[in-house]
Amino acid sequence: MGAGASLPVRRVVLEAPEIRRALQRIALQILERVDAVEQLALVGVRTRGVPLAHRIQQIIETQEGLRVPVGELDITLYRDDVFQGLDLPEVRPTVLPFEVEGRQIVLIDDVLFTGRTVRAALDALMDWGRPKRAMLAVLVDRGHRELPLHADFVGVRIETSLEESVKVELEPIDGQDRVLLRTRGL
Amino acid sequence: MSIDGLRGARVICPASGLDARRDVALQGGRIKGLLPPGTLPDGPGILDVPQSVICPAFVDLHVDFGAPGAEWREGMERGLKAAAMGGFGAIVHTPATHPVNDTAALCGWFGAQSAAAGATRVLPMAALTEGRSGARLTEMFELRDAGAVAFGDERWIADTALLRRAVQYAAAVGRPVFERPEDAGLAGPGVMHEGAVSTRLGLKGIPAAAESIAVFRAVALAEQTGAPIHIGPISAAGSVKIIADAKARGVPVTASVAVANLVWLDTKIAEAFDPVFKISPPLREAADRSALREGVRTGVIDAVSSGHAPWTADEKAVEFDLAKPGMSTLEICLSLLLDRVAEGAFDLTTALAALSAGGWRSLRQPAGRVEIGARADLVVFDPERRTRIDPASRAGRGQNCPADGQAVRGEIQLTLVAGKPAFSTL
Amino acid sequence: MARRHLLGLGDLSAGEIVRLLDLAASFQSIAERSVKKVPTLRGRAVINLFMEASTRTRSSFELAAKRLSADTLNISGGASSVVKGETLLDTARNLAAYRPDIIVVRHRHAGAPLMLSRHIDASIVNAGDGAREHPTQGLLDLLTVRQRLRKIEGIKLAIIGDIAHSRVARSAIIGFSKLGAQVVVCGPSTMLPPGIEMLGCTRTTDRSEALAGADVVMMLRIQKERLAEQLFPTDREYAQRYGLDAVSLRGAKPGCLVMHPGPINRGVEITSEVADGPTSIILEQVRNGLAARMAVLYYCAGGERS
Repeated sequence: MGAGASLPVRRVVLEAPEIRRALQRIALQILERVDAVEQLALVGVRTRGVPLAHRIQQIIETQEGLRVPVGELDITLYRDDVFQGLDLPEVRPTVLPFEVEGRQIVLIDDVLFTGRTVRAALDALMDWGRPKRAMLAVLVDRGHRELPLHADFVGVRIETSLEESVKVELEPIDGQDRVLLRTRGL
Repeated sequence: MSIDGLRGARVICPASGLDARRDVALQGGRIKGLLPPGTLPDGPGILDVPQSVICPAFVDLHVDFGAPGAEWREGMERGLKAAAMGGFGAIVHTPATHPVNDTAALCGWFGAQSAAAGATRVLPMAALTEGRSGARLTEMFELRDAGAVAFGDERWIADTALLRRAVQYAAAVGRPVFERPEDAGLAGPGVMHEGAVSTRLGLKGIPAAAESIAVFRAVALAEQTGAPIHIGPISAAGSVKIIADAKARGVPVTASVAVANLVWLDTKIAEAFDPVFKISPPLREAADRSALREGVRTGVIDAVSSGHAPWTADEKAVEFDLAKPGMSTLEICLSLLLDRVAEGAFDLTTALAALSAGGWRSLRQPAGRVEIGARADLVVFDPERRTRIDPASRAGRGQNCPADGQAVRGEIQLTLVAGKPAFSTL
Repeated sequence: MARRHLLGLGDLSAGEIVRLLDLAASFQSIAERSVKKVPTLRGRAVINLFMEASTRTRSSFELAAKRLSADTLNISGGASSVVKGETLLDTARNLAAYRPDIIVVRHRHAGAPLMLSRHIDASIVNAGDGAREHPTQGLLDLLTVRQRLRKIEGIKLAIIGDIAHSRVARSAIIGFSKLGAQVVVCGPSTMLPPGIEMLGCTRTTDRSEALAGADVVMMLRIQKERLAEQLFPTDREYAQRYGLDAVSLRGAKPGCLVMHPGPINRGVEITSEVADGPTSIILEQVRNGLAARMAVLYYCAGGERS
């Protein structure tokens, strides 16, 4: 092996119990940060941000007896790379069962990487109304930002190289909860 | 180089019934001898063509070079070259020119076009009515003396009484009337056959009835007056039946079909809305095509014409509704028929008869024959070799040949008019 | 990826049509909220080449493109160089020099959009070509019915009017039958073209037979030219035999939906009572036209430049 070449990698960096604990920590941090909890709303970014948002909502309800509204945001039409793939992405409806105006909204997604998804999510959210405040919660922050954006609530930070990819699997979609780190292509 | 003899070919003469290998000797523009194969001695003007077929040169009843008046479409000179390349020793040119061929002067001009030795002969069809306007008869005796071989407007004459008078008058002049059968009112603005395909494509259709009504009218007039009428080109099964019944009764009618209607169907247009397949009369349904092929086979249809009507790209590369109707088919007419022979629709002799003897019969003139003493109007072709049709090397100028870029069956090698080569690859 | 065109519903499979309907449904929600735009086609150019007069369809396409943040340009038949004798191809080639992504074409000659798709490097969307097809109308009709009835399969649709000259009817027959509906067309025999059944329907000249058990009835506009061509003797007889009023509508299923592509000839093919009645979904059709056209523009933009 020459210098600079890395060994192919495929390993689990988070198992189900660790994911559960991370989400619990995020839920509590959100409650600490938000002063007027009746203004709070959670918005999951499709696709995997949605089950994460529902879980955080569950945790808050169990711990505090509070039911915080949850919305689902489809950002396909806002992506700057929507026409670059092989197939045209499906556009699914955005469902926001509350007024965005005046709310403190936490956008929730699985992985924060270049920041372009977050930017598209902010654009999409703003087209629905003017929130009092918008924050971001992610399960995994893997670095390599291409835009000046950050997450307010982070489950776990992982050092990654650009040859690697992070895959979050969640039970309702993938059948199990875990986070994988892999070399691209594996 | 003059051609003195052709050795070893299969000689087919539909008019005399000859179908055998012969050496053909030529002299003075005529056939000097038909000898057992291999007996003609060597000489400078002797060609060996053992793979070929020799038969009388073809005659085409419906050709339009756009001359005079629209020479950008093709013109007489290139058109005649295309005809020679297709094996045609003579073509009947439509009177639908600009100006219309309704004067002796213009009629004589047509005849003079093939004065060049060895060129395909131009046989002018003169208009039946002045300006083809369906109102007044033309001076048919004058036109006959100027060379007209037939009279026709190539367009619907609405006044049936006038048509009857014209037919009677032409009979006395001694030339047949050519009637293109399409009731203009019923055809209306149609651009293709009226049927399931035109419905699907949302294009206006020409019902087959527009043709059968016109065919029957012509048959009734021929029967009533006893005057010879040629009906064509036809495109529908109903027309074949009417003509078969008429002939059985002894009515003096003949019929022709354009080669395209033996090949393609209206479904061809559905493939790509390609205006090359917009022709008049239109391509119709499978039952019509079968009836037309059967008509050729049995002789109910006397002649097959190319229906050659060249158009430039500007006139064809437009919306289907606006495209001018017609295909460039002179160079490929024989090939299209050879494909039908290979499919078993009819035999080779029938096809060759439809291209020559049938046409002469429709003109009420003696057929070209391959026999001793006859004029050497012959075509020599190799029925198996494939030729590639290339728009750049086609003699015709039209951009509307359906076989452009394709390899077709059969290769015309030599077309002789009065013993002189109008076209030769030998 | 080659250019994506929408020339007709006849070119699409049932699955592709359903996909477009699902896409259109997603775009409906954008039309409901206060910011009605999305940036998806920003920087793209959509040219509306309307060689036939049309206010409603053209406005619908123009608004759809603008809602997707595309730049739009309208060329209409009267004003364009075609009147000066320029061929359709030359007009389109001149436009193509501006590198539009999508050209929306309406033309009175069937096959014109297909011809353009072969000669011009742009996505072509057919906004109606002669009597051949009007695919976006077909899609919005399907979308509207699907939303109301929750399904297309197994429903009975009656289309009444001048079927022979109607591209709306053809697209509807093709689209609805592909998705499993039972379609019957009805009108005087002069207006029922030969072989129409091959598109996927049955035919009748009897209005009550067409309406019996219908879940949806679509009325087509009767144009003045047809009276001049004598396809029927008078408006009065047409209205009596083939028009839709409250009495004849009773022959259909209770709650039968009433559709019309517009514009309406009140009192000829449809009475005001029915057109403005409780089961009329004519205005919903118009609203859904916007979402359907946004979906089509999005779908076509998804093909790469060749």
